[in-house]
This record gives sequence, structure tokens and C-alpha cells, in this order.
Amino acid sequence: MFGLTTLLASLGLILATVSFISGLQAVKNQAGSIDARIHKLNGYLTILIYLLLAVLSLAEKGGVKLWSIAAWGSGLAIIFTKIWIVRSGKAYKYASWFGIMLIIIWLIIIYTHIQLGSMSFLNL
Amino acid sequence: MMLEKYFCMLFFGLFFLTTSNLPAATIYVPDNYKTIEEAVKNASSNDTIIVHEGHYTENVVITKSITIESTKGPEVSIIHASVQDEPVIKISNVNEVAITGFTVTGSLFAGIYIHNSNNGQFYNNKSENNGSGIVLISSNNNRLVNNTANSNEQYGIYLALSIGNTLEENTVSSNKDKGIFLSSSSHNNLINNKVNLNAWDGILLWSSPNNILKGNNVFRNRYGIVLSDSDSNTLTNNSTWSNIYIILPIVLIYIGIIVYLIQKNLLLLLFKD
Repeated sequence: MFGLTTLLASLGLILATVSFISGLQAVKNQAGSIDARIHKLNGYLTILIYLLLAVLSLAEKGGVKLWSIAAWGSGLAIIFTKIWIVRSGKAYKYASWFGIMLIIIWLIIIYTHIQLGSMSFLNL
Repeated sequence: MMLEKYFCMLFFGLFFLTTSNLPAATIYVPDNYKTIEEAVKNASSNDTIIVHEGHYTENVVITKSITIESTKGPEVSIIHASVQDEPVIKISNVNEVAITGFTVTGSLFAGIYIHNSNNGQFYNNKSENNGSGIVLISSNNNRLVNNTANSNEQYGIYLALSIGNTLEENTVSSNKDKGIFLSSSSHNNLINNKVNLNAWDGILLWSSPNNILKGNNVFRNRYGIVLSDSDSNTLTNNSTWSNIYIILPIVLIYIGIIVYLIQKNLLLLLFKD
């Protein structure tokens, strides 16, 4: 069955998708809309899951490695850049690009954490 | 004169009896010999060589029936090829060799190479970053159990012209060609192996009839189990899913869209005003 990291990564991608769609909708509507609330709520949950996964993954691999820290750190930098862009209002038109980048990050995380043999219960 | 003949015969008789039933000795590395190869050269048939943890740089050639075991397992008992073109461990023209608990690495040819050798036992070894992981040529009735053959340049486990071998609970992953490759080999049993993430076929049977493949997990290889010119093989309870890594994220994104719609409608109900 699924390992803990795969479950967290899967949940992260789901919430990132919710956050991305609601973010796009929030841009269309005025600030303070329901979409903006959904975007924020899911966004913060996604960051929490991201941090949890980073800690678990670094601990799992038996020792902190420079490349792993660099990769997780780069993801975090993209997340914070995106938040800064939206909050400061600068380069606002690039916010959706950063949103897509976050989805891509979650796809990479999924590919990294997917458990081999995890779907064997489907017997396909 | 008769008495002399009698004593002579008695002496040779006793000599034959004592030499033919020599008790098996136990040799320790690096206590008795510094290298495994040295220990093998000085060992007799049926001897056991116990290897303590450490990093050994050498190529071991085995041509007599001996057992080589590590005391603390493959994580800390590592043999690195000193001559890259030769296998790390080569077993040639000998029966009943047992090797347990080593990591073999650094050969452009093979980690463990078994040639024309029968009834061997290979348990709990790791063959990583070699040309191929474990290679059996013209070798019959060997047991390969709980070995790992990962990240090799070519095949994880390769059998050619080999009959009646058992490959059980081995992990064969991330090899740059095929995971397990049987070529012109028959009556082998492949049971409960994990064959994942190999660049080409997970398991390939080529001109190999009458093999049994049971309970193997073959995931995320380019092709799962491939049978070419191989009849009368028995495949039961094997799991294959080549493209799960494409399917799962798409499913998750769809779930994400549904979750968004649910959340939005729930919030609309809660905050009507």
C-alpha cells in the first residue's frame, strides 16, 4: 500500500491543484471572494505538507545531503517568491506562471515519492 | 616381508581415510588472511571463510566448493573490483559454492559471475554499479535469494544456457537495460522478485521455455514481462504496471478539481450572505 510520504505527496498535489484553480478564479473576482479564501487555506496547507515532506525525506535518506537541501530549498524559494509577488502587487501578471511552477514541483514530488508496487492491490 | 607389506597397506589406507574426510576448516578475514582472495587460495573444499566488515579492493576467483559469509551483512562488507574488466566475484567450474552478505561493485563486467557451476547458494548480496549485477552462464540448480541487483549498466540478473535455477525475493531495480534476462534458459523459477524502474524490459524471456514466474512485482519498467520465442512458461500472480507514474498524477489533479468544487459549494452554503 501507499507509504506515508506518497500519501502526503498525493495530498499535496490535490491541495496544490485546488489552490491553483481557486487562485485563477480569485484573479477574475474581487479580493476577499470565496475563491481567495479557498486559495489561501489550501495554499498554506500545501506549504505545511511541503515542509513536512522535506523533513521526512531528508531524514529518510540517512543523512542530510547538499543536493537534497538545495532542491527542497529551491522549491521553498519559488513558493515564497510567488507569495511575495501576489502580496506586493509587483509583477502580478507572473503570479499564474509561478502557480504553474508550483504544480510542476508537486508533480516532481509525486514522481519521487510514489511507492513502487503500491498499486499491486489492483492486480493489473 | 609380509609384515612390511601389511604395514605399508595399513599406512596408505589410514592416509586415504584421514585425507578424504578432512574436517571443514573456518578461515577468518582479515584475521587469518588479509584479503578474501588469499583466503580462497589457501582454503580447501568445504571450508568456510568468514569475512569481517570492511572495504576490500580485489577480484575473487572461486574454483572450489567453499562458503564465504560476511559477519555483518552487505552494508558494511564491500568488495570493490581492483581489475575493472574482471568480475568482482567469479565462480568457475565448481559446484556447491555459497556466498552470503556482500556488496560487490566497480566491475565493468559483472558483480557476481557464475560460469559452469551448479548447486550454489547466493543469499543477501548486493551487486550495484557493475556492468551487470549477477550473471549465470551454463550454470544449473543455483539458488539466488534476497539479493539486490540495482543500478548496473546492463542487466540486473542475467541467465544464459542455465537450467533449474531459483530466483526468489530479489530486488532488481534501476538497471540501464533489462532487469532479469533469461536467454536460452529453461525450468527456472522466478518467485516474488521486485523488478522496478529498469530502463528496458522488467523481465525478458528469450528462447527460454518451461520457466515459472510467480508473484513477481514488475513496476515502472518500459515493458513489464516480455516473452519472446518462449513457450510453455507458467505465469501466475505477477503484478505489472508500466505507466503508473503517468496515471497517478492525472488522477490526483482530477481529484483536486473535484475537491475545489466541493470546497467552493460548501463555503457558498456557509457564507451565503
